[in-house]
Amino acid sequence: MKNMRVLLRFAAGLFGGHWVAALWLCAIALSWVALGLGLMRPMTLLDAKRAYLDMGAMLASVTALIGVLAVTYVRNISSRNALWKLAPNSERVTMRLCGAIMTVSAVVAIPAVMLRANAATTDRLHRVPGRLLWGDPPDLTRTFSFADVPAHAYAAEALMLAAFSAFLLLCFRRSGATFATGYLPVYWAATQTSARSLWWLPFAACAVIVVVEYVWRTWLSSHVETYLRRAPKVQPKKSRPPWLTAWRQRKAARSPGREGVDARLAALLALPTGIGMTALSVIFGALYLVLLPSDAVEQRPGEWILRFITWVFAYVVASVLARPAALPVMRLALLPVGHRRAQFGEVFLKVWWRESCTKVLWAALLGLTLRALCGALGWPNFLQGPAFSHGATLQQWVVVPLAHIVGVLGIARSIGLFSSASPRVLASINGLTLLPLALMIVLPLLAFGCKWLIEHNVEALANGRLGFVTFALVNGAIIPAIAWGASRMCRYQWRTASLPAISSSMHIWSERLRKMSADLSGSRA
Amino acid sequence: MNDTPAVSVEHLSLRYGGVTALDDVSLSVERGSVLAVVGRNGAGKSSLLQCMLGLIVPQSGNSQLLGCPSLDLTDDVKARLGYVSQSPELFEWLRVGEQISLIGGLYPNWSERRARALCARFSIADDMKVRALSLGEKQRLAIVIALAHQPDLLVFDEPVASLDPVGRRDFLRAFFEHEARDGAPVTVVISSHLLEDLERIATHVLFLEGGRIQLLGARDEISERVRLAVTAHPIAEQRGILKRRQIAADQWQHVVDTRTVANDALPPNTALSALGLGDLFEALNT
Repeated sequence: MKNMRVLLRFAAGLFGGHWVAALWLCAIALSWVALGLGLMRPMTLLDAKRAYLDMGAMLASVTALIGVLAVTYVRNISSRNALWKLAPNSERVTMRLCGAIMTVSAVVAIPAVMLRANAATTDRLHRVPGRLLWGDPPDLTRTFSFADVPAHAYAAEALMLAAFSAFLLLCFRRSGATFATGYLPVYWAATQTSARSLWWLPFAACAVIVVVEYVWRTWLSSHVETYLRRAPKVQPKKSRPPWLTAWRQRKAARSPGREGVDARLAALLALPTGIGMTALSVIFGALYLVLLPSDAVEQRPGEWILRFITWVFAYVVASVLARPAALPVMRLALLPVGHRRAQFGEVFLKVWWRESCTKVLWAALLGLTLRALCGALGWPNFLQGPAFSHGATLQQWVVVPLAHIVGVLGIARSIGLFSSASPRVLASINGLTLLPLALMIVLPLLAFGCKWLIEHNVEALANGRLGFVTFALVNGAIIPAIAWGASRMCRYQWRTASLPAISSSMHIWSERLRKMSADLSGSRA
Repeated sequence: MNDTPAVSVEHLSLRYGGVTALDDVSLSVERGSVLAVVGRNGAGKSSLLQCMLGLIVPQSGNSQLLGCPSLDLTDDVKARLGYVSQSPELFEWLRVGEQISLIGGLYPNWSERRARALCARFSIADDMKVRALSLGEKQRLAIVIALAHQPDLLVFDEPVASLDPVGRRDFLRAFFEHEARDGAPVTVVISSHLLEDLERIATHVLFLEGGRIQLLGARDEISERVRLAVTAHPIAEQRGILKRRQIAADQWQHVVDTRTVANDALPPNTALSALGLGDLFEALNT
């Protein structure tokens, strides 16, 4: 390869851009830092800093396994992309690229194995003190270092990582499953050491994904076979919106009166979003509601972490559910409202709000049903554990999830308000891309500030008591109020908004979303 | 000079589920010829080209490019091959210049100067992100990449479908000016619906219908031997009658292969009119 810089840029872009590569490198560095901490500072079994080692083990495992996943992705791309496949020496360059990725993975696999072995050993010591698989019963006050981790533990973790890597290669290399779907088993593999009872879960997840993907590609997705089979009818069918969109449009068109205005506007302007992305965001939201909401009081460290994750993940989930969809701006200009440019922001907000509301409510319905089912069956343990760890009461069943739904809706509303506030942001494709990410970082900071203020000024909510009330109050009322104020302040910008620029960036955004959805569902869009 | 054909396809069959995309297709393209592949949507043109290049594995049959099996192309053959697909699969996150350098870096005989000149001809800005290009611009970039290393075998799958008239003109000009690096004769396989363009460049024509070869031969020979006959009564289906259609109450139109049709098959004094590529396509497919 003559130009190494271009090859590196190509490789970075293949996995999502420079920032993904930078994150990967940071993760490698952090993994080694965590290992260094563990090597230099022996800790007792109950040392709070042990959490850094556990997080380091997860991070290192994810980083190492993502490398394996990246190799399968590179192989898939190189065998499918005609331009690459038909170029001479491409096979050699692909092998070199895969080799480089595997080397980096191997570099991070060292801390991964060591930290996982450490975590697995302490896990075993915590769980069955006095009945160890190897060694003597521990003294919990004695310091525990890497020297105390038996050689079997290292071997077991190395074997588990290697076996999962091989399984990952086997499943994803052949199946052609998309890169995004591989994250889930990789994440699970990182959380499950050989000491956990669910060590088989990532293997099962891999197998399920590959089977589902095969079924999807073979029978359900709109790829070349379907195209050929329906060749004479494909043109008129293509121009029709998907059935769900068509149904919603018909329903909205019949919405009567003033209340129906928003529905009609949304139906007219909302472009059909890919079913893959919509379904995934709804499932994501539902899983959040199944797993995280709890009314536990923040007293023990584990509960504090759970609450922290619940808050942060609420923003991740809401960002996915309320991601601004592309809108046909020029179509909007042809409507009666078209001559009032200052109102465009409001129209954008109405359409986005309606879309995100629908998705949140679907997620709520699915999540509450699953939560009830898991709670009633008492299975599987890992799904109903955190949510019902304090007993299954009416509060746990109904009030807490509802409070979280209110919170997520509030965050979704705030995202819509911030997104529609400034036409300058919407006029740039970078602005449209970075906006959800920026909001995902800024809004939680704002929320934690508000939470801190409330808990230090309202006695009834102090020290994490009634945490779900604080959650609903902050995210369902205060943050949307702040967002509303900000959007009112920026509204003047819409009077001089450049509609062609917004239209152009929306077009690119729409293409990007469509492609993302197609990549996810494995269809040829 | 090497006598092996540039492209050789033998008994190629391809099925997608229950649909036959290619049905026992055999053909051979001599070096230096330009084969136009013509057919309606779903006739199997893209499938044929992709099987030919080894991008799709057929159920049966085999194909060779420059004497090398398509499913196992060597780097040497790949270096002599240029391909433009219907929807170019470019790397969207790169800039135009980077995309050219990336692919160009893989070719031993890549000419950076020629690539830049082609970019200028096709009016593609070097520093633009590929994802910001329109479909037509992407198609033009794919053409630049296919031509810059001066291959002697070009495979184009509807290369001008998304091009404006100026783009089409530039493509044809680049096409006519294209020369292989070592002066070898350039072989081209091109599928397109723009028959007037094909009429200008094709030396051979292949008509596909439902995955089967409807008509194949040198263009001059086809225009010489395939004629249109209009009669008052239908002529019975037989060898040499390629297509029969009623166009009025007492008028039947027949596409006749004058070389193979029986002498007494046509009524005496039947006028046989010559057909252009467009007329022939229409007559065969309506």
